[in-house]
Amino acid sequence: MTGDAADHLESVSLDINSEETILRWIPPDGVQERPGRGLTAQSWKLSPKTWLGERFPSWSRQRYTSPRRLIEIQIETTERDMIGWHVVAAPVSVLAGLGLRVEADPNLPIDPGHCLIRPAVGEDFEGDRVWSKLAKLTRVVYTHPS
Amino acid sequence: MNPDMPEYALTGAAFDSREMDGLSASADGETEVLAERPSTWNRPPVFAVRSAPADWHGDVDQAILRLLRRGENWDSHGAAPIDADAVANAREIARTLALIDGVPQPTVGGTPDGEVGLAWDVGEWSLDLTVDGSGLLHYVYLDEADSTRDVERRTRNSTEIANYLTRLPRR
Repeated sequence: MTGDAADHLESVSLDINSEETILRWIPPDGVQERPGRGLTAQSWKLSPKTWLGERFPSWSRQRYTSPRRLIEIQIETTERDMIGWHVVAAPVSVLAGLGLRVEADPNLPIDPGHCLIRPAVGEDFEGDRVWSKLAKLTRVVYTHPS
Repeated sequence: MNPDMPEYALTGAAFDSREMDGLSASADGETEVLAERPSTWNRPPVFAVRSAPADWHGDVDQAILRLLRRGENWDSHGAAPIDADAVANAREIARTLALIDGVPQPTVGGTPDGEVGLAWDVGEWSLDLTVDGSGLLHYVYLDEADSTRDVERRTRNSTEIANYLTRLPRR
């Protein structure tokens, strides 16, 4: 770890407060309008990529990484224009009720708020229904303009 | 009339039984009645079959086809390209559902594993369906009023999906 990264890490709390909000970027057509809830994520956009062996999906803590910054990170790292991409938010407080927890996983210095969603107990999620439940509780908080 | 059963106006329709497992033609050949009884319900469902796909079918079919344009990492989270066989199977499922009276329009999306997703959320309930290249259907049904009715299952029987999509109230 470089000196700068170490300095950043010291400023990132690894304890995640239940009042925090976590964020995830979503492709332009990866959202779903839900009656009474508005624009949310599609459930499939939240699940881990099993074909890559990913077990715990990546999110970012809004406390350290703003929705706009999250998209800018993607522009910088992928060189996509990200026009029309969304950022959805989920309150950390709802995750426990779904049998989930958030683990800080800072990616310094790019994304200090990077975190992972893990099962509250054990290492395996109980099917995909948890992503359907979580998707309903998300909301779109940012759409990258053209 | 049994209050637990949906009230349908049966429509005259020519139906290709190859497109839906579990449907059988009535004696007059004009209506189709589901004979199979999914284990999740207490009574055999009855579907009214439309003479033409619902108005939403064209838009949904095009949205499914557009998924073929997606290459690797289309979601910037490392997603797989959308499987052409999954697209073909999803188009068939969508057409089948569009021929059943009362099935609302789904939202279309790709999954990180390269499958095709169809989603419904009408407030009281939601159903997320994924279709893979082999034709396997994986669905999650969530009931807002009664979580004991939540279901996650895999099946190859599209009538099981249609049953959820037609029997419950919506806003």
